[in-house]
Amino acid sequence: MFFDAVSVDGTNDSLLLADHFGTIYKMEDYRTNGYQVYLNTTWMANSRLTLHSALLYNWSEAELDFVDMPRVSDEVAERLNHQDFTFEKMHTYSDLKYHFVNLRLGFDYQLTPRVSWMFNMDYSHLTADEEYVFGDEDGSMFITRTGVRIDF
Amino acid sequence: MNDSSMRGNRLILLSIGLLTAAVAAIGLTSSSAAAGMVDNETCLACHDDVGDNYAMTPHGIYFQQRPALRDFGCESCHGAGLRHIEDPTPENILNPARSDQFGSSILCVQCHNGEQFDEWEFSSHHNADLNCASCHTIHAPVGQTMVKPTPDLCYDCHSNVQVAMNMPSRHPVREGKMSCSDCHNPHGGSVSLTMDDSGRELCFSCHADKEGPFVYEHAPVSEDCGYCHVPHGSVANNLLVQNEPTLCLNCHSMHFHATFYSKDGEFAVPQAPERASRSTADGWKRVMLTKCTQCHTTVHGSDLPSQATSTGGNALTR
Amino acid sequence: MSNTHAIPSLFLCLLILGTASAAAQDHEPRTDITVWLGSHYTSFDDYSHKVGEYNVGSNEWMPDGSFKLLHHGNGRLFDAFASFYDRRNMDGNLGLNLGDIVAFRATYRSLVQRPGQDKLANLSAREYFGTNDAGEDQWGGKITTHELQDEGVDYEVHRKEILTKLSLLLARRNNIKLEAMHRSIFEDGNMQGLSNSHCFSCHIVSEELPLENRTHEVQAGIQSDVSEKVTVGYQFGYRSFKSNAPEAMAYYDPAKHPVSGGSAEEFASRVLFADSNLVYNQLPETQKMSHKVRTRARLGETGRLNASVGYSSAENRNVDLKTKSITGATRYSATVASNTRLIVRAAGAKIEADDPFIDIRDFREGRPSGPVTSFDYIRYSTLDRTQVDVSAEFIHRATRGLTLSWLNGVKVVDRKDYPLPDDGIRSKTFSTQAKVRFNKMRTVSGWLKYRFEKTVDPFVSGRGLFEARGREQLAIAIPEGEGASVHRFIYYYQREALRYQDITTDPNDRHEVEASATFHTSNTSSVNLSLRGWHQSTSDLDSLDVRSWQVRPNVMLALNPAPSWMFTAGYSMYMGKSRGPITVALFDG
Repeated sequence: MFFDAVSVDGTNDSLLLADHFGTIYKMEDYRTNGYQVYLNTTWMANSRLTLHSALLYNWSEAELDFVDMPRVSDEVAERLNHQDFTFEKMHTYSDLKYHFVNLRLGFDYQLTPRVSWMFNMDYSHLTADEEYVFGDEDGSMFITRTGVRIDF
Repeated sequence: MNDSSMRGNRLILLSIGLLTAAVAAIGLTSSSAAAGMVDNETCLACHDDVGDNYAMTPHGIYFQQRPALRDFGCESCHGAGLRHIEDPTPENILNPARSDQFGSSILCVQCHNGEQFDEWEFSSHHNADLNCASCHTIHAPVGQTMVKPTPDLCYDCHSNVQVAMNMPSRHPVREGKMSCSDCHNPHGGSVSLTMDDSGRELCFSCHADKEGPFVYEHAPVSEDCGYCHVPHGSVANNLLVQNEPTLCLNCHSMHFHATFYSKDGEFAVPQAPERASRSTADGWKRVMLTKCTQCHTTVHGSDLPSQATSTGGNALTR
Repeated sequence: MSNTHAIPSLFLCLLILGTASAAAQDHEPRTDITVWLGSHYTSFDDYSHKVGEYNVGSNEWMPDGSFKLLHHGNGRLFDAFASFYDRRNMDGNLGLNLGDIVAFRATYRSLVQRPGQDKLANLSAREYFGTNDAGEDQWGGKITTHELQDEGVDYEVHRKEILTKLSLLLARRNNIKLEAMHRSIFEDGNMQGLSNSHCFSCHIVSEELPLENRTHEVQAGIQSDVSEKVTVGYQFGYRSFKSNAPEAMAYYDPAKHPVSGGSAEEFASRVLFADSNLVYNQLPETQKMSHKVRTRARLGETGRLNASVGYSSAENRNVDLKTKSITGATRYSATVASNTRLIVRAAGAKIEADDPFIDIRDFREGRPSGPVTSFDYIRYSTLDRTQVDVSAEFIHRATRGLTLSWLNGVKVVDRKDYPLPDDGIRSKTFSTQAKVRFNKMRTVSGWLKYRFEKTVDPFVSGRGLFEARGREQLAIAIPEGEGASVHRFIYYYQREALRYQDITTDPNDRHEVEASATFHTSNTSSVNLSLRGWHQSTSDLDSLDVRSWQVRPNVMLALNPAPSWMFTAGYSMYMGKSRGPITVALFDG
């Protein structure tokens, strides 16, 4: 929905409830950074036993730079004296920073030519250094799985 | 036309001819000798590594059902083998695994000619000189015909995607609940090999509730989901390019309410005392500059007007 | 029987039937069966919804298992797979191939996603004016509060999908083939519903809502070789979406001043609803139909042509809104000179969206003084458009190990009905791309790509970005002479008229670089180095320095020091920065 721009003014503004001074803006940087390391290895120790492991570490962050809005003029500050046009904490409301580590260890042991026993452990831990609307997101998960595979 | 290109075209035509002839002819053996063909047994006598599994390969199983091809399965793909038997050098036999976009990379789509292969010759995989054997193990038993499982197979070349798939927000590929081929057709599609030319169409095939049309629209939803989302992974929740509110502020001014003073401490709500709560000194900024979708919940569109008349009902809050 | 049980049961029946059928065959059959019998134990510490977003489990050993069957003989192939991890994580797969006549596959899979709960803790504030001369706090009338009616609820969406595909060779003559696909997606669980009253009481309420989404899709097509070199096909598609969840209702507060309780009529005259229980978070019931005719042809020795024409319509049945689109695409490739391929791609679409008239009550309707403003309008859609995308690419094999390619393209999107001052917006994007691929056998292989896109008149939000002082002046909404007790307002909505509508944060220029090199250092080791990066900027703007870039270097090492040992390691980085405006109106609302 759009309106034709209006241009009537010049009235006595002593009873004017709202003033129009335009907009202030600042060009701000938003950064997304991260890195990831992973190591995977599979080792056939002998004809029956295979060991495998995997390690993953991921660090990532997304953050708004410090918002340094230009100062409003004294005229504006005086007329809009219930407003605060500084935003020095704004970048703390929604920044994100995560560390994630995942370790997987397991083996596959061939009991007979048709039967294998497998065992896997999977450990994950996530740390969130910046709280967002979900609160403290730090947590860890541990999954152990074992069983036999039978080929008929 | 250079030798390799000419050779490629000849081999393609030869293959088509072979298949056609094989279907049409009974008693192929006598005529095949004249065409320079030998039978499977001859091939597998040397290529015993292939022979071990041949009967269990998809092609081997298929050829079993077609009497005219049963004994000439190898040559259906590799062309007539007599010359190779006489002089067993690699140059004397067609090897689809070594084909490229200027050669016989299209050999396989002669038979694998369903719609999903329509775009192979225009695909970025084909144009990068990949061929079917780059990803498929042709001579492996059925069920084992990929070089390695996805997504690891894809990550071998698309390592940047692997990074994204381990980011805090992602589609559940790492968990094994999705695969790359849920969105991408490796045999050809648009330039990015997605299943549909339009990114919107692809996303809506699973997220159909976001398509609309809606009475109250959000323009970027009509443009491209990629305005706000990255498909492979992101730091921000919901695969957002940036976290709220910065993403929203790229196009929208912030609420002027964010400029109100507040105070650290408890406050009362005169008309609803049960709602008395606690604020911070920058309370209004925290309210307005943390997560826009706490109020603008229907950012993909809505049929219900929002509350304020002056927005024309289009504030996407309901 | 609920869907949760019906689908796995259906699979079980099919599995038994398939197994019996497979066993009944007598032509050199071979059957391989693999069974997994196992159990798993899952434990979570602290917050589980992020680290285990797609995992569920309990602190006890739970059984799991899988069954895999592969049977083939006499040209027939039957395979089946069923996996049970827990009742919300099950997968199944059935395939049947009868030579090249029948290919059938049915797949079932399920997963759980556990989105976190937004605690809304940031939504508490009351305007504060400082202290008066007596040292008393002076509170203002603007208040935001929140209420969690769903404290401690674990949100969880259980997604199940069943997909079936059938390919049927109807006649070997002309290769007449039928291809059909069906897919159903069932999403059940709960979700966090947020409703908000505002202006007079900015109060956000969170509650648990049931979730029951259903998506069904069917595609059916037929294709035939009309000659040795030409294949034509037709495909029909249908997709529907519906939510079966009960309507979510929210109470919207009475209109009155949040502090004094007065001015009820004035507040009520500025909103479309108040003091009501109303539906919110309503998902649309939609259906989409499409028809596509396609052809592929071999032209000459190396030429290949694909072409398609399609029509589709999407409808929101809740509000009787439709969009219709006609699309066309063609692709042509041929070897045009020695070791040189040409690929031409062209696609076009015309999309027409219904433009509903939004008829809403007047602003300040029934008030005794001041402006009564109509906000009725026609909602034009940015989806309404005509677009054309054309490109040509040359690929040249310079030497055995060196291939060069060069692509040029143009894309025009004409949003003729989009309500901007200059009668819509026509965006034009010109692109050029160069690529080098190299392959020195057993030593190094890789590629380098550079792409540049120049967009003229990129998409602009019709609501404008922000205003600048002095561009225009606003009228005072209530004229003078109505008495000193009447406030004279500049309304926030008036300021939207002053927003720039030719400013965009979409890029004009985009540079993209990709490079990858794999060094085959020995027969047992290789190293891959890759880099992907882009930079984009909005050069049309004089006053704003909108730009962004991203770089992603990656190194990967693969080692096979012994036949029994495989080792891979990688290190990746991603760095990105975008610069955009943060703007706020200088306004005492």
